Amino acid sequence: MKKKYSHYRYLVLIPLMLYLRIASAQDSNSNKILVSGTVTDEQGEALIGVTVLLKGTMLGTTTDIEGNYSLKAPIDATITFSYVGFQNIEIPIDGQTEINTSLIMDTDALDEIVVVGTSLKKSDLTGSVVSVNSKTLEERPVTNINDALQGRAAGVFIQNNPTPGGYASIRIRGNNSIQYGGNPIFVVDGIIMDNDFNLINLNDVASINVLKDASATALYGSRGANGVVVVTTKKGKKGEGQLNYKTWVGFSSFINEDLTLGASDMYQLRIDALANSSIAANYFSQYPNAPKEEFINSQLIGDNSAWFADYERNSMEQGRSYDWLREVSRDQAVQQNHSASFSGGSENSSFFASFGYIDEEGLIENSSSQRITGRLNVEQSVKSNLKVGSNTAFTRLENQEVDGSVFSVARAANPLLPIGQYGDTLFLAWGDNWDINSENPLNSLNIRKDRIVNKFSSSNYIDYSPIPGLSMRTTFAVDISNQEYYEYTPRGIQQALRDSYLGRAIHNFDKTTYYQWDNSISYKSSFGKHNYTVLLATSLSRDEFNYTNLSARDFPTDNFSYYDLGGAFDKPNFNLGSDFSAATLMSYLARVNYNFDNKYFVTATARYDGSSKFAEGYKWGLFPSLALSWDMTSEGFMQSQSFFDMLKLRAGYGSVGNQTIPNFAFLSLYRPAFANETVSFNSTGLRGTEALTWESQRQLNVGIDLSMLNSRVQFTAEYFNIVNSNLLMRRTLSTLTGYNEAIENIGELTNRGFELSASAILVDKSNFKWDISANLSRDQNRVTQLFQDVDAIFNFGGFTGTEIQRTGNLFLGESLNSIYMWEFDRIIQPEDMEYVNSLQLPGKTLRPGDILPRDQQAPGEPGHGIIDEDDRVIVGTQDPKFYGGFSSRASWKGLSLNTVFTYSYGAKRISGFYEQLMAGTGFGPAHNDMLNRWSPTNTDTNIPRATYDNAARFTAGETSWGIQDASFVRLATITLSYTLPKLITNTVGVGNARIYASGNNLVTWTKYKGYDPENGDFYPTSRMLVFGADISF
Amino acid sequence: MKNLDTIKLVVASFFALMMTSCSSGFLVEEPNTSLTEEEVYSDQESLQLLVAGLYTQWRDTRKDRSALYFTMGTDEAQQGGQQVQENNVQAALDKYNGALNPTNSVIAGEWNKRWPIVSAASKAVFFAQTDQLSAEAAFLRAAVNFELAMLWGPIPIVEQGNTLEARQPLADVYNFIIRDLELAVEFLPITQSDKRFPTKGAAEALLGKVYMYAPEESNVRDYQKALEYFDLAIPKYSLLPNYGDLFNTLLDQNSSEVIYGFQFNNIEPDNNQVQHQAGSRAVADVDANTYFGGYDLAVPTEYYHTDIWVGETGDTRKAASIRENFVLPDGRVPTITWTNQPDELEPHTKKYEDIRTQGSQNFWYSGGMIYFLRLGDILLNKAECLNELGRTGEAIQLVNSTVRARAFGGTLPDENAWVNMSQDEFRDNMLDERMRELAFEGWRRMDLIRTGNLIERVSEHNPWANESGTLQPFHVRYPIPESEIKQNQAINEEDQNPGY
Repeated sequence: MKKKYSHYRYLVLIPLMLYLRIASAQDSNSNKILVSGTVTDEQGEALIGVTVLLKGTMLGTTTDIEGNYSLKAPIDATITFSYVGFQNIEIPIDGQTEINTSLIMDTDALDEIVVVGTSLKKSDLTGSVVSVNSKTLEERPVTNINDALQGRAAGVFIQNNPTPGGYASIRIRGNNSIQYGGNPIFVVDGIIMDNDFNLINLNDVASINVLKDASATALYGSRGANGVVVVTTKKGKKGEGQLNYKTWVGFSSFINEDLTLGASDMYQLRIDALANSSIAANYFSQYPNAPKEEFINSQLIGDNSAWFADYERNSMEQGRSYDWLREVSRDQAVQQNHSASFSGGSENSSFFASFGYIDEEGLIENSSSQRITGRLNVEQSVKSNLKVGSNTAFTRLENQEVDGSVFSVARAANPLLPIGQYGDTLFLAWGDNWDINSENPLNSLNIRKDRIVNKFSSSNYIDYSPIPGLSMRTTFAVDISNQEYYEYTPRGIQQALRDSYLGRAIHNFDKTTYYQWDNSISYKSSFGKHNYTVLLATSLSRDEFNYTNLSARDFPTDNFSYYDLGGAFDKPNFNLGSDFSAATLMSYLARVNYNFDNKYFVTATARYDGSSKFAEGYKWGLFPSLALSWDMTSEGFMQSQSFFDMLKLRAGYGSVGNQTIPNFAFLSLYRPAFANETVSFNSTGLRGTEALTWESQRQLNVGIDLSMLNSRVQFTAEYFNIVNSNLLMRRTLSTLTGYNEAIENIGELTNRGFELSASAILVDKSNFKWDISANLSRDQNRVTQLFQDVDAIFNFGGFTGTEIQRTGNLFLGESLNSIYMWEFDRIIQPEDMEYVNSLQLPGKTLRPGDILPRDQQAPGEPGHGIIDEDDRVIVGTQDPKFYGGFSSRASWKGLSLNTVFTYSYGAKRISGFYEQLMAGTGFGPAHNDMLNRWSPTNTDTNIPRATYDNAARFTAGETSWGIQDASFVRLATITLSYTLPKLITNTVGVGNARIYASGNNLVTWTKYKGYDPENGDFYPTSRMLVFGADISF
Repeated sequence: MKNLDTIKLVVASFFALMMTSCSSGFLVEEPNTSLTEEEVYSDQESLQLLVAGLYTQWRDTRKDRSALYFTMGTDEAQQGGQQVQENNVQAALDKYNGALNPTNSVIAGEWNKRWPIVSAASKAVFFAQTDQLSAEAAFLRAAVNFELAMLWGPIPIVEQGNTLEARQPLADVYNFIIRDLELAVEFLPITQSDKRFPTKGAAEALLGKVYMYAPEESNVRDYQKALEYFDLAIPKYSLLPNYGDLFNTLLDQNSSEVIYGFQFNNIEPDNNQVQHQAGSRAVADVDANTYFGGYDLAVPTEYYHTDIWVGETGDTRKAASIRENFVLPDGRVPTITWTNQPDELEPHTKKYEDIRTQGSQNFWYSGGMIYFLRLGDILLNKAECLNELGRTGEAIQLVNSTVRARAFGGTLPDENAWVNMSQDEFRDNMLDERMRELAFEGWRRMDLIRTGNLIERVSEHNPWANESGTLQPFHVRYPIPESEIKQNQAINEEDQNPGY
């Protein structure tokens, strides 16, 4: 991907400029000539404020807004061009009067990343790495890192989470472990964090490197098996201080909440459902000659019929339809984001300080989230060979959450139920079925659920370099996260009445204290054309988690909300809970980077990791890796060509470990429980596996990096083959064992795939530039071995834990994400009935218009003619066949238009919501598809008939009929921005100003029938319009 | 060179620091709020608490719907119409149709709930260091194994160190149960202050039942031995004068009649929730804080609520155990709800009502005692043994003088006294008498199975089974769950009960 760093051009050092202009006026010598020229970056864009000095003096100037400079200089002098973030360049004048030059990005400075316990150059990461810089991240106005990464990095699969304050999910190279540690780890300035790394201010991020293969992740081996996301925050730069302010305001709204039938269609559906039911059959057995209309009129819609409620008849008569979901959601939710940063530095020190504030409203009424962040990064050279520094950040998150039933009940509410009249009932109804579990969502909005997270993280290091090349570093980091959760359910609403309490308060406190101590010693040297770095490191960390939960019932008044636990008077129902647990890790690491003449690169790593998650004797694992690369363009035979700017081949093979399982899985544990008026010890249901040990992942990675046509076209391709063995997995057990489940090292999973990414600069004029980029990833996993000679492990679940689930089963030779169930055969037509009646069915009664599962056995095979558990098959997988993103960036003068698309193809998805909407009983919400339902006069359809007897047929979720194609293409972001001309900004004392308008999630093309092919049916898809400004001084 | 030495020193000490920072104790973490298996089983006090927990787990198999599942699909109880309408899998328990199959999650759930108790009890029997604790664990294992073997047929035998995971011959299974109960009879105390734990009398009564209920083909059935054990137990208990008091939650339900009862109360988590399933939806819709509301999971069959009472005028048991009046205490009159199911206002069982909840708590909090063994049951069992041993006269005398006398208020009117029955007539009458005395208390299915009457009686008196017409002889056993077959290597498809 082509990098653009044009924003550095705006790091204009106005006062310095003035100072230098004065200095340059002091000419005193006559053998001087006037030298002038233009300074640009590699892409030819003018660089403003480049320092142009006569070497060895303080005499000089800076470039102006067009990148031009001129100065008088001795004819034999040398000019030094220097600019923050770029490599210095020196050019002897040699009598020239015009010297144009372009500066090269100082990748060393920008690409230095801090990994655990040490800092190294990005180029030393020989393996598979994708980098995303802050510029790219800033293109999408989003509030967390995962969202910003979406579609931008090959091999990184991100799924949005639409709740306020919610995090997107992230997968790197698909699934490796079966159940544990599917998430990559996040390393922020050297601190390993969990998902809450998303709490950091996106504007603090300088770069993100996603490490994908074993060689790259080897540095984090104890936890890197599912990839590593390395986040490096910004540092101050030498020179004049800077002040940046960024702000945006976004307006979001649901775009597809309206999937369900309105009042009159619903009314017709119920009539139809009842007319197709045993109710009608009973009637007609009594009155065999009655016309259908008479049944409908006399039995269903008459005033005495119990099948419709009076309020429903009234709504019908008045032609009204009620949208309860709209009633509890905001038409438009507003979010605003402010961020200010200050940075600066001198020869010996640098600092970066920032403050951020986000205020986000949720789309459901009363839900919102606020986040305050602060950061201070400092570094100081105490002596010439001793450096200390700290990266410290604080975040406070406050969420006002809404009870889940608000949304789930509202979206399933009866459109015939008048909101005004029934706005304060305890629960909602279909017909006269006032359902005690459909709590009135307007009441449920009064349940308070407040969550507060305070997070403090600080990474502090001492770096000592006694002789050149030798560096010793010790880093101590802490990450403390305290979460408080408070809930109050007021008296009088259904939740309180059903559980017979007068108000209930809950306080939950979760504390996570993590510390990490890393030490490393490295030596870098070279002899002849041999360059090498040797690194030895140790790391130890402890992750401590404890919680305290309190709940109390029955309060004298609702006025105190959750504040006064002591005021609760139902003393027998006080509930307390707590636990304290910790996990530790310890690692030794040795690593050698070697290259010959910068052509042949070798990285060899060995690490030895120990974990407290395993029993004595099983704690340690050894994980070596090796990576090779060859920069062909450095070869002599490539010097004569100019087509390739870079042609680099890479190969790596290595192993890393995974231990991301719950604590103490090697022990069978018993917990005290209070019941039957005394305490007793109960098994947790988990059988301890004493020999449990590291899951290991061996990964082969082969890649090629190409850069062509003066770097205008860049291309990277990678292939990987991962073999995960000793897979850590929770499996259900026969209860004969005395336990329900165990975590064991089971079998082997392979995961292979490839990733392609390409970018091209299509137009590169001084005023008009256009570049595009695209990436595509494919990963395919297969279970290649299970324990002993077992060829399937079933995932039992459901209410009694005895039903084979549709997902989570493991079949030899199949994907981990297979969907296993009855296969949809067809919608039954009248002429099929003879066949249907010949089948032996699991207690089902089928009629034309119902779903028929496929009998998987051919005539003559055992089981033919019977639909039972032997007819369940794999009907698809939830893995996409490929996914990725593509984007375009075009700019004309100060205007630029960026678009980012994301896509995914070929994944199947279960939509429980759609299946619920297709029940067709008329006593629950129904999808608009029901308009095209089967009937004797509409037989050419794949939508089943309506019937009140839904439980007696194969329901939408029982066969693959309801499985959805979750392929999509989404216009994730389109942003139009305008950078104000310098002439204007300078006159108002602003260095740089950019304003923009942006749309998130504007369009999605998909066949998915629930809310969203990516988020599932958690919430409807929402769209956000954003207006923002970035200003720097 | 001094400088270089300093550097060497610094580097060396840094190395030392790196290495010493990693002592191996660092990687040991212990659970702070749970005990390991070793800790629990090696410490007798903890083991006592574990066994107490197992008794609670066993009690919890009588909670909520589970309390009624085996009662459904008999001649005394049928599922409510709306329950059948809404849940095809559960409906199979009454219909005995194709959905009563190895994947039936209701049946599988009941199977799965019981084995962890058996397995943990087996460990407790093994590790217990006192005879009493060992006996307490053995009683529990026997009680649960008995239930499993009666309903599913041959089952695995779980014994610490010698577990046989395949299905074992019935004779072995029942002898294993008998061995446990003999241990229990020997070492359980006469009384227990903690009512969760069984007494010697409970072991005697249960052992008597095992000898009587064991299937013929197990070659264990022995009415004489059953009689002997019943005779050991019976003198320790006495019938309550008033039948209705058995189900009055305002009284201390650990009465003189209780041999073993499941201890519940109306505070979560010790409520049994059964009324929530057994009550009337029509009532629930009017006011959910009414003690006889619920959701009609299982309601009396017509045979139970009408037919068996013909000619039994004056039997107090009918009014005490069957609700026919649904007017709320405050006078509100419920009507059939939106479901249009008339059975909402047809007779319901009263045995799970908990009047303590009236007006202040949802019927979900109902928590009256659920009987496992009570004297009324054991007296009838004893009479049956007498009859089977050819002592029909004594059997009639026993029934008249105890259970029926109490039923009619203490004095049995002559016209209601049993007289002059043949052995066969006694058997028939006893099946009805047991229903009058014990309906909805959990013994019906086993009574029908052991007397060979399940198919005939259920086809005739259970309307769902009757309508479906699919009840067949193989249905005397439930199917071994698919989840067991798929996860237990020693039980395969071919080990399934025939017919499934």
